[in-house]
Amino acid sequence: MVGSRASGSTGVSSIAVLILCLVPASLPRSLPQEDAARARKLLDDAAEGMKEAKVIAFDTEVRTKIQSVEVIQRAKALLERPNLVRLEISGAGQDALIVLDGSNLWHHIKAKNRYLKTKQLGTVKVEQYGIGPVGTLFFDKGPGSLLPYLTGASVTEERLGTEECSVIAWKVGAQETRLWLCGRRLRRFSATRSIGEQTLEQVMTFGAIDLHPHRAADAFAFTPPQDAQPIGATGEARLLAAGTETPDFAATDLDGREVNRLSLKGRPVLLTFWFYG
Amino acid sequence: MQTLAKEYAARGVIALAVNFGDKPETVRACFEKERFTMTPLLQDGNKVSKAFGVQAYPTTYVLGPDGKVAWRAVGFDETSLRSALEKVAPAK
Repeated sequence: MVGSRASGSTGVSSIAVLILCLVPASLPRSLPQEDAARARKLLDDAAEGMKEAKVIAFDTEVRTKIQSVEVIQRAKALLERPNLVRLEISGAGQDALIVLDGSNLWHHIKAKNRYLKTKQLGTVKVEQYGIGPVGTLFFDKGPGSLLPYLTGASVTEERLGTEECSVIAWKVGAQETRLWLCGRRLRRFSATRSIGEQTLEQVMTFGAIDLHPHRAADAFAFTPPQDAQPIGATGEARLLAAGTETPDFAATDLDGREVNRLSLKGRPVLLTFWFYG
Repeated sequence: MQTLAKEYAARGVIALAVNFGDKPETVRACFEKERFTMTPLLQDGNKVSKAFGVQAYPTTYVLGPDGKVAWRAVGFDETSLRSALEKVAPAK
């Protein structure tokens, strides 16, 4: 999720902050629907600034904190519509190159000179490296996959350095997500999640977005270095092959009713395995 | 996923989401909040995941009316899932 234009609404933000100070803290500042509409508008505006660009480049800093341990990495990102990504990651001894070439996702771990090749599934897989929110606004040309979250989002004002920013926040289960938009630029993204006593926090800070970056001819191509070792694709080794009989199984729905192989007989089935965490 | 599940449920495809490891109340809250129309299912430990050889999440299977595996994949790719569903769903 992202933006690229310089702030043009400082006056409006200041007024908003002033009004905020006059409202007793216990009263909701605005109705949820108003916040949802406002969040949508902020993200649309941020995407608007990139609408004409075919390729964008930006730097990010990703800080991941688990309890008191903090890992800091930097990434240089190059994105091209409709789905090409090049990410050069450095820091924490984990230097890596990630390339989404339109068909495959390549992840080259430089220190070990090993690489993983998997099928490219949109751009979702690289969210963890820090292009996520920017990528959503750029590739979707708007809030896209963020829209479902905005219905429950709140919007508040906050100063980030010298800039007046709007903070869009939402919570799903144990995870709290926040986006800082300053003027029309996405500046920061944070996700905090509590698992039992542990807290995992990730903060991404985005640099300015270059709307006319240099794009090398082979920027979105990856050829494994000659001595690099492939890492086997995970998660597929034991899956049942097409044509295999559905195995016997029994699961229950939330009311305790059993669903099994026989109860599905004669019907096509979409069966997905998931967890929320 | 939700969009596809809804679309193909209307054409007779049973849409099930087998959970791994979450508490039932978390599953319920998540489905209510997101207004998912798939049927969430709970399993005993990882028995169902194991029966289907699932080691990564999300993993999705499409089963044909003949009771056989028609398609499966790790991750979510709308285009290939749609084409798999199109092959097993009754014609419009």
